[in-house]
Amino acid sequence: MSFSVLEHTADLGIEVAAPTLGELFVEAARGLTDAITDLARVEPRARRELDLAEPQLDLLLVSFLEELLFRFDAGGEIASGGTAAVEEHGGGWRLRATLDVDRFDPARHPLKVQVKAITYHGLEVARGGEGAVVSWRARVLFDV
Amino acid sequence: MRIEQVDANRWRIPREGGMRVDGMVYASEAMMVDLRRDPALQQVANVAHLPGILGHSMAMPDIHWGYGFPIGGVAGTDADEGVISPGGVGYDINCGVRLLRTSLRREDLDAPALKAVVQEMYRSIPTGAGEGRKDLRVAGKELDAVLRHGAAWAVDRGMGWKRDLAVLEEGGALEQADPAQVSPRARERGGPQLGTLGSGNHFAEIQRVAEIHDAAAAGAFGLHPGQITVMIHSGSRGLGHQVCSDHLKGMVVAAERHRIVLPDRQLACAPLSSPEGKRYLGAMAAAANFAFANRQVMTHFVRASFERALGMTAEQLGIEVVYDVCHNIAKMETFEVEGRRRRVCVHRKGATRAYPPGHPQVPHAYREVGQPVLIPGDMGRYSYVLAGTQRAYEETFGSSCHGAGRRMSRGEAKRQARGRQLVHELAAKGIVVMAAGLATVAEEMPEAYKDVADVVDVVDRAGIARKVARLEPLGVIKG
Repeated sequence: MSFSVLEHTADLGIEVAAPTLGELFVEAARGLTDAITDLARVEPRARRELDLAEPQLDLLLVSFLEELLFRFDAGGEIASGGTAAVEEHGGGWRLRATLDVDRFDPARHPLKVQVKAITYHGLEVARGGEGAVVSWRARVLFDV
Repeated sequence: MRIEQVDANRWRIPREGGMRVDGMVYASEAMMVDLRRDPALQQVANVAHLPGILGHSMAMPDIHWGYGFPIGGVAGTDADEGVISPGGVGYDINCGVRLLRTSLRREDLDAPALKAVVQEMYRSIPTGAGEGRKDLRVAGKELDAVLRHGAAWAVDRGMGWKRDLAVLEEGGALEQADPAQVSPRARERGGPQLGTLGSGNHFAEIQRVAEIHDAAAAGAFGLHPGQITVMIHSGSRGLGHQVCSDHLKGMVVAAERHRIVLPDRQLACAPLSSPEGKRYLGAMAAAANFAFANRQVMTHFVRASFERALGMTAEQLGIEVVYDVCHNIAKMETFEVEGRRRRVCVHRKGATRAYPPGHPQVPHAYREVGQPVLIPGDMGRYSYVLAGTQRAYEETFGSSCHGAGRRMSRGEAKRQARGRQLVHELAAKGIVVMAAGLATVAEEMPEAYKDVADVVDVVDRAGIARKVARLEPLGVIKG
């Protein structure tokens, strides 16, 4: 499981890889956190449940990260990790997640960038892997 | 993709494939050497696919890669047949610039006085991500009033002077604002952030007028050499970002229904005549008004900061608004297109309105010289004041550049900055910087941006704006 940072002149993106879709989404959440502050300093102090659905898988990733961004901007909450299940559901896709979150504290969490939005540009959620080995990867860009 | 040189400052991207019009890029030959390989040019061509686009898909010399539209992109669409595209406005709706002048001269502000003013500003204007004010939180009907009345809301609450409104683009409020289209989520994000600066490339800066290029226009704007000015660069904060996300999502999903085929999902749009289009226009205008109100509130706190630091009133100090411009916006404006007067939806994404002398929307005091165009430079380097021209009105839907484009990614900037004490470097130049996050300082280093002087030279030589004055920073507060 990993995420890495993409370089773009005006903005910031992440590429994420994981063995399952659920883990992919959680890694993306960690990538967003690490864009905003230092992930290593974010502690699992509380738990949050999320239940979201969208007609398409990549739209679901954007909605999920938008939800996290909203919770940060409006409520000062930031995710350190967690577990998620992402499944096809009623013709679309559904995410159910339990996230570990921390309260953003400027004394503990140095601010890196202000992420304004999760964009659709270059957005990708794709299945990879060879033979019996399944993996998932995603790419998403943030407007900062 | 072919590129044809039209003249020293203009380059055409001829129509091909699904492009409905040509592209037109304003750039110097030197800039074009780098630009040829830049994906931003493809974005100019992509924008040309928009239904109802009129004239050309344009880009200003500060062009760089953005979401759907390039930054520096200008596109006008027909009010009846055309579309509106949130990507043509940007996430930070009505990110813009306000310029204040004072009756102070450089020599009136010694180092301790300058520091005192900067400190007061830093104390009274929250900077940084997620920061809200404790003394001003708007919600419910009060927030509705902000969304409807923009800067006038702030003046009515005692945060500004009535005469401020006469020198703001659109008088500081767009009429089509529809607060009902701003979601609860956007309100929750943005309500506590009124009167805050934000971070990234936003700033409030104390400057001096370093050079006058056009004495008549500078005189009309009330600017003279050595004068102390203040520039505020900020937008609609979390409220605008959320409005864009909310409506963009709806359009991405609805794109199929309207059978609009576009080369880039971020160009998602809706016909101006459709329910989605109208809802976005109303929401965008409301978010724009939030930004106008925001810059008005910060103007009030800038005035208060000078008062506390210098022990004189803002009236005595002559702290007047010169002008306020949007550089991320879509507006319904009227132009002559192919011999007919038409209502055009002008998208300016990282581009500024630059109306000519004589235009009724240019404030009376400036009408002979043209609309002030405020171009923020990057941190530690200069900013510019320009004036709009007739040529811009005829050629670019009355638009000009907005600032310096980024040329280095944030990661690259941070790597180059490693080991450099940027705040100290600026201090060595006599510039006082107070910033909430030093990481931002590295990312915003001047070398990360194209030189705004080059950008301004191109628009001046192309005749779409005239250089009036150059401003240099003395003190900065940043997020």
